[in-house]
Amino acid sequence: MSREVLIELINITKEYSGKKGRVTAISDLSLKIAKSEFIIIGGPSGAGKTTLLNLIAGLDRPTQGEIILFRRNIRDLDEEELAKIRQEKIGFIFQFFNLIDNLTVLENVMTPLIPLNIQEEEIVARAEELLSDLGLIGKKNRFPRELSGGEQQRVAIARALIADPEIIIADEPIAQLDEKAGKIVIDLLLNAKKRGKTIILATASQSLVDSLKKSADKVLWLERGKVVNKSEKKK
Amino acid sequence: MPTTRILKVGYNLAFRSRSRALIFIILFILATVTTFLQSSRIYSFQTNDLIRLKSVILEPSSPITADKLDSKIRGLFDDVKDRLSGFYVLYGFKMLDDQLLVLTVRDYRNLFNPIDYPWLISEFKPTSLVTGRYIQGNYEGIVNKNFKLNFSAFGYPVSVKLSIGDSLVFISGYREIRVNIVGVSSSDMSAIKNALGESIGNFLFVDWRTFEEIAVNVMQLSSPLEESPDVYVLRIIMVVKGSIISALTNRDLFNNRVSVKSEVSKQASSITPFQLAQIEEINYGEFQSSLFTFIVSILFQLIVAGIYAVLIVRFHRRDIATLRAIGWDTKSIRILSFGSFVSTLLIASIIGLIIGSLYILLIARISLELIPFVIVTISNILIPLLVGFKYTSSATLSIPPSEAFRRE
Repeated sequence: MSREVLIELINITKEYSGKKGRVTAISDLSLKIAKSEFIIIGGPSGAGKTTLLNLIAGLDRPTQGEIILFRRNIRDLDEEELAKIRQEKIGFIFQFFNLIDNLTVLENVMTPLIPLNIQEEEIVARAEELLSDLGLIGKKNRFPRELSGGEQQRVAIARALIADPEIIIADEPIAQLDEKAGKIVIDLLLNAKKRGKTIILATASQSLVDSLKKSADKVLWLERGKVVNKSEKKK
Repeated sequence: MPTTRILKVGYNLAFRSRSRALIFIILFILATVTTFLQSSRIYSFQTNDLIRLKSVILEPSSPITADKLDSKIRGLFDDVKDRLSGFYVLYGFKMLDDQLLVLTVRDYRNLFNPIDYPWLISEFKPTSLVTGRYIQGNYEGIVNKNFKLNFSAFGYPVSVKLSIGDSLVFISGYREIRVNIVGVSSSDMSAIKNALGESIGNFLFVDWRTFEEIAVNVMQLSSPLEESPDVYVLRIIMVVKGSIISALTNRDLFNNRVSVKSEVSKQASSITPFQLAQIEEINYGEFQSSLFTFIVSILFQLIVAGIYAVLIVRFHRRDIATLRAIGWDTKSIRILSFGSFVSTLLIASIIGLIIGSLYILLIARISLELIPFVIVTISNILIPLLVGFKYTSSATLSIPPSEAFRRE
């Protein structure tokens, strides 16, 4: 039985207007992302990985082609509806962690749920549970600047998980980390996959792609906005 | 409640970047204090400094009674009334064996502006009171600091001192007129004593109706009192036309003051014994510089608020992009920027208002009135708040969420 398709990109092209005229960041790319899949998007810097993640998450709109996000074409969705989808269904892990410097670790983890009509006690309990699972409960009142890079990325993972999203998008999540911290983060992502989450990981590291190939359902290698190599695990 | 939580996040974003918030809090406080002082100053031109800015005062060089007033002053009144917004007379009569002078101020020939009244007689205006307040209605009175009436009771001398909360009861037959003392003046009343030509020790200032009741019912003076030979005319106060705001662009107010004084000089012989009283006038330059400083202080506040709004958006650009990327909606982002911007502005404005009030009360000793509070609230809080909120919310929403992914 085939898995439920959560996101579908159909012949999408994304162009930007730059100083040197139109720049094609993504060219005629199609991709299906099904529930519980682990997808790796590899490619050198400037290949279009981040643009692709932006499109997948509904942060940006394609110049051409269609994007179906949870069975709805994003052309039919306004920014508020897209924000709601991101809030409920997508968790983000950024290369530079993107933690808010002036909020504590606990407050950072809580941020996705703050605008929702959920009791504060429940948000705090969920955040503390995640921090506990990630070994950071003792640092919940610290500020991001007081943590190591690995710890900061774990906080970012806790923030990505707190709303219990179906999809986790990780943009070069270990690029700024040492080997040990990187391994912890990758293990956390693999654990999330085991719990049924869909993981989309972008990386410029060929070695990381190689090491995760076996666990991945799909691996795309991008160059200049085009898929130059695609491998898919047979179901 | 999500709104409270979001506001708290905004507050934390602003206040946990302490040095930045502190600089702007100090600037906001400075701007608030400056605007508050300047608006109090401007407002005082209509109140505490009304006499110094807009009045021409005549005082009698020898005692003159009300029955002679019309013949002396009517000609002058007719010649200058088109340049005046008010023409007032300070009346008084003696009682209790010349121990007490009862005083009141009233318009002459219906030329008056009700808001002028508390500020017309410098000895009894609200800012000249050592304690208490200005009279607000009938049967209220203000006395001088060392008020003391001496009586003889059963052959023994008795002294009665009056202060706030005491009442002075005048009894005439079955009629009782009770005057409650609500204020005590700090003035030595020397100008009034000079106008009367006698040294009286006790002064009671009341409104016209109370004055009339005591005079007619207790002292049995003939009515109308404006024509009574037993009522003294102690001062004439002419308030010239000209609004404070229009004085920025024209000098009508000052021209009126000069021309009324010149008319008084021309008619000096016919209005004798009235003559111009020497008062420390506010000149055009002083007035203009006060108005200019007031406008600059409001602009300063707006500029500070504008810079702070721009910096808040700039400093939190990445944070806002991240929050939008993780699904915060437009309303939540607006509330966040509101919390961030407004919390700093409000806290600074409140501190500024407290400091400004203390300064006004304790050091500058300008009257603390409601109007300057309203001006400061509108100019220093509401306008920057609206401008800043409008800017921060629209600017934060223009930050694309995809910026969260951008490399630093």
